[in-house]
Amino acid sequence: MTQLLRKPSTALTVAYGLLVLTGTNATMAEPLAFAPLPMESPETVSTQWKPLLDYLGKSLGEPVRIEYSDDYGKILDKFRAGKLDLAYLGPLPYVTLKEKFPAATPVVHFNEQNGQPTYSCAIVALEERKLALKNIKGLRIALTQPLSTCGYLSTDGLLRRAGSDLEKNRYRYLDKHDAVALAVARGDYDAGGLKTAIGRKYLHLGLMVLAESPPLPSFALIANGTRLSAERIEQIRQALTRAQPGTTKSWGDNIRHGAVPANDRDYDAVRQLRGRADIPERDNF
Amino acid sequence: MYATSPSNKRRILIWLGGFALAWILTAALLQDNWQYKQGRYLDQHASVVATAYRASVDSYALATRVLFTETINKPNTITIFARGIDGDPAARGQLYRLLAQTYDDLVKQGIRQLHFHTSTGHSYLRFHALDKFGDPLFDVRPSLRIANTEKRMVFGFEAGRIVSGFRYVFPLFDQDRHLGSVETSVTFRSIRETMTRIDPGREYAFVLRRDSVENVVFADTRNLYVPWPMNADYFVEDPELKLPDSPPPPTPKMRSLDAALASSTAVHTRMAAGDSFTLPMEIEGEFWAVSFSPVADVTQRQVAYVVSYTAAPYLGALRNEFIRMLALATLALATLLFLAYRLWQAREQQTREAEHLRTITDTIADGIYVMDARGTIRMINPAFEEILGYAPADVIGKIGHDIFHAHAANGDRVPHKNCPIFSVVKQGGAFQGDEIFRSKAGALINVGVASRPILDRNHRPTGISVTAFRDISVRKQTEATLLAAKNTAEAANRAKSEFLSMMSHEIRTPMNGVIGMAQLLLIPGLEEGERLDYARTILNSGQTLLNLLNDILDLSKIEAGRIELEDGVVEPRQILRETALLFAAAAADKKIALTTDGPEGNRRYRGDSHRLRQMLANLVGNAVKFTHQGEICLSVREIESTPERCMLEFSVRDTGIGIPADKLSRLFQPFTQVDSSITREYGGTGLGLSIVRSLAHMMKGETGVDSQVGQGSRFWFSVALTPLAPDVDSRGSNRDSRPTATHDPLVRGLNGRILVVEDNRTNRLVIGTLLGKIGLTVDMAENGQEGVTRLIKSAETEKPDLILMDVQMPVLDGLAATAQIRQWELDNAVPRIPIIALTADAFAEDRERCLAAGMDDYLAKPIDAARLRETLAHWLGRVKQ
Repeated sequence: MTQLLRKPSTALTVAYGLLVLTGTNATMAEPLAFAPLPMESPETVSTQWKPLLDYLGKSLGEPVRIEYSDDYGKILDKFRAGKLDLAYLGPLPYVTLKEKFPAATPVVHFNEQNGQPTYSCAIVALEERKLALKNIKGLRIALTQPLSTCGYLSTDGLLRRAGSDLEKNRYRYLDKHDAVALAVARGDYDAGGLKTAIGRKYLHLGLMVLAESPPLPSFALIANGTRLSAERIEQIRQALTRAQPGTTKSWGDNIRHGAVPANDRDYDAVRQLRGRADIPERDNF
Repeated sequence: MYATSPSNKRRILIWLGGFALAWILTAALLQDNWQYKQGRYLDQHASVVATAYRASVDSYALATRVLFTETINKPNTITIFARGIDGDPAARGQLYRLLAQTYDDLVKQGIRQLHFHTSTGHSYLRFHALDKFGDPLFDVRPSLRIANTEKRMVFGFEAGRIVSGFRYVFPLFDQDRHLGSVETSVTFRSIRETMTRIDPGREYAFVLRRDSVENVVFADTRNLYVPWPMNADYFVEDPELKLPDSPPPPTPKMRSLDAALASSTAVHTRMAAGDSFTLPMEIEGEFWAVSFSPVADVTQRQVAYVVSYTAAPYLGALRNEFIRMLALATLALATLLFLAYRLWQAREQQTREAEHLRTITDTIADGIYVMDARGTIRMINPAFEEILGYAPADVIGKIGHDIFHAHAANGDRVPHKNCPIFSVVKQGGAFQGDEIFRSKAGALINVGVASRPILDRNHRPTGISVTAFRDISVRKQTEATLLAAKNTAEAANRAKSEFLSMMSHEIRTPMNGVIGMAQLLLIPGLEEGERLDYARTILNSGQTLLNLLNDILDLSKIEAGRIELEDGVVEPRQILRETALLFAAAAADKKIALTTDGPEGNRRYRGDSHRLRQMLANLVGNAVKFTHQGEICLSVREIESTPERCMLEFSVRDTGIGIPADKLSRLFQPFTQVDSSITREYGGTGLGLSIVRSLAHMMKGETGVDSQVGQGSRFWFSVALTPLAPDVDSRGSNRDSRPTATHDPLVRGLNGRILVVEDNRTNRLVIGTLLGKIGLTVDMAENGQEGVTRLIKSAETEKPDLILMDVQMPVLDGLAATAQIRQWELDNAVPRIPIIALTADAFAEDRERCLAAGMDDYLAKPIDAARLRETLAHWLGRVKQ
């Protein structure tokens, strides 16, 4: 085989290419199933992801379809059930998935708007409140989503570093990072946990960053190792990391800034922030 | 059907062309009407949309004004904003926190934006995009520039950095210090919802002009805008509903309408022109009105359109009405065309019939004229002109009666109202009869007239009448001739009946004498004197019969035109004298003086002296007969005289019984006497005067009578004769040179042998006896053939010296026998034997026929013994010689 490869002929090259392109499931005609973030309208998802998926399908030689889900839980269930090949997940959902489904394999991290494959989470509060985090309790804290990395996970982790935790305070999930920032800015909450970059957008409204996590891996494309071979995963990784800006400019807002290879170790900081295995899915007030 | 001649085809094409033109005009009018109504209807839509839009925008302006007055333009707000303007970094968050709840309330009211700006036009605080601030806005937001430079409120639509909206900008002041401005903005979704509340049942879209998007919107939000399917020069804002305030996506029907109108030139041109308009559309059988209401920004630059989609079944009703009206109009036009075509056909037919009638009336031989209710002539035909001589201009438009019919048959004038033709046809009756018309030359013409009134369809007279007439002058003349001939024939018939009656009497009378006397002679033992008297009476009676027969023959010849006048020398004086001598004895017997009044000298003329003598003898005989005393005077005189012609009048005047005046007209008629009693008393046939008149007419003269009862009469006749020069020898005339008959014809005997060829036994006996008395030897033959045979076979010594030949005989008649004899004589060189015809055929042509057949002389039956002897003596003498 090696000998043959060293003396390639056109026919053999084509045959090899086909083998590589089709992977172990080369005989399958079924398109790859990709899960976007939940809670987004199909139209938005389609607009945001379709150019990338088209690119990927063309690179892989087989089409990629979108498999919608209402929440992270369903995405994880489908992943474990082998109904998904690829998923776009934040750090916490990945860590959670990885714990239950080791075949989940990070493929690439999509760079943030600042060009980095990492971001941080923060706790913000109104500067005029002159709030100190140490041993706080009983405060009203705004959170994004239960499975959002900058939600319960990072906020609880940062509070724990200051001698407190979320369970000592009153927290409420507001879903979106901007909503958390504005809720704090309006004075409706004493503090809020959110993505640092978003919190910084509203500093002019009197917010300040009380605490900030170390760099955390950005959103990543996670492959299902039970359905995709390592070669196939690598093929996808190569395709995405080598995509040129001319190609990526038509991709969605959060995925157009480039990608870097991802590794499970990138999530160690996340695992360190995590205090408890189960994150409450409901507000505590 | 009529043949489709080129002219007919051309007319049909003209008709069809006219129909097409009328149809096109009608269709254009109907379509114009349809389009007008549709236009009005669509304008209403455009107006409704524009009104709803204005009302909606104004309602938000009012709400914003309340907000501004009641909430924003308050001291604490102004103070915080002023600190922010002055550089206090905490002011923005404080302002946000102060008005956050207000903004939430505004959002619930549909006002999505609350935005503070600095006086330099930089964004200070966007409640709807709190992460974006500090950017300059004057260049892209004229409303802000106007509000902050002119320091006044500005309302109106305007594109924005993120989304477009209907802006309500208020300048903000801290006391007199101009801080900047605040604005609220309403998205089209809010405007749309308000419009829907105002006018439910419409769908709306809001589209922005491409340049107002590309030049204004933040680059990272530009993907909110996609080209509008109907017109790519416009953009639809956030059709994918990325923003919470975006209006609902277009319905499938709107998408269909957008697609259908994408190819509409009107959409592109009128939107480019910034027009307010409404277009009708039909999609899958449903009618829609799509209204385009332009939206201007605060600088009055047209930058967007509110597009309204509404179901408009009325458009379908209008279209259906147009189709119905067009169908009706087409039907009506077709019906009209058909009727007009039929009318034209009928008129053509009428024209043709009129031409035919005109041809007929022009060629017909009868005169025709058309008269109106007043009797005015409307039309005449050529035959009218030909018969009466009037040109159309002479009579057309004039009362025909006054021109050519103003008279009755007797020529008297008749008023128009009494005109028999006009008065009948005026009442609707038909006139048929003979009338007299007057020609232009003034001649009266007998015409047969038929006049008929023209009736309407209800059989009421229209007043118009047609009259035909023809010249019947010839017919009238023929009728008159026929009538005269009939009268003549009837008169002749009557006359002949009378004649027969008369003849019976006239013949019976002498016949009675003959038969009676003959019976007396048969009585034995008569005295010689008695025998002579009886024989003389028989002779007289026979003579009377002969005279009667001669008169009848004369009259017959005259009437048949077969009498020929001799052209000899006439000596009137001699005729008078001889005639007077002829009647001298009879006059003397009645003791009547008989005188002549002859002309001076012995002038002679050329004429027929025998007939003149006969005529005069007739008059004298009558005079002698009807005169019992007094005298009878014969006279002759010239009443006209020219070198070439003289008119002589012979007259006989008597002093007889005279004739009543009322009977004079009956004279000179054949078989007519004044009174039948006269005939009985005086005898006579009544033929004498008739013969005189006829002969006088033949001689170009007249006859006449003057008479008074008891005084006498004067009968006369005139004749035209050619005078002769005095030296013409009277011996040249055909005077009978034979010796005058004597009263004893049998006295002197003759010698010779006579062959008598006669089929009648009595005649043979009479002739044989007479010839024997004369002394001649007689041989008899009973027909022509026997006569010829006897002659040929007789011995030389028994050859006759003369043959008396009857004409009409059985076996071989006298003419044929004569021809055979002459031929035999020629063939055998036998000397010509005199053959004398002895026949009852007494006319001159009979004589000519006999002579032509080879006979030598002619004697008529009954036999005049004296004349027989004279003739025999003449021919036997020649034989002897």
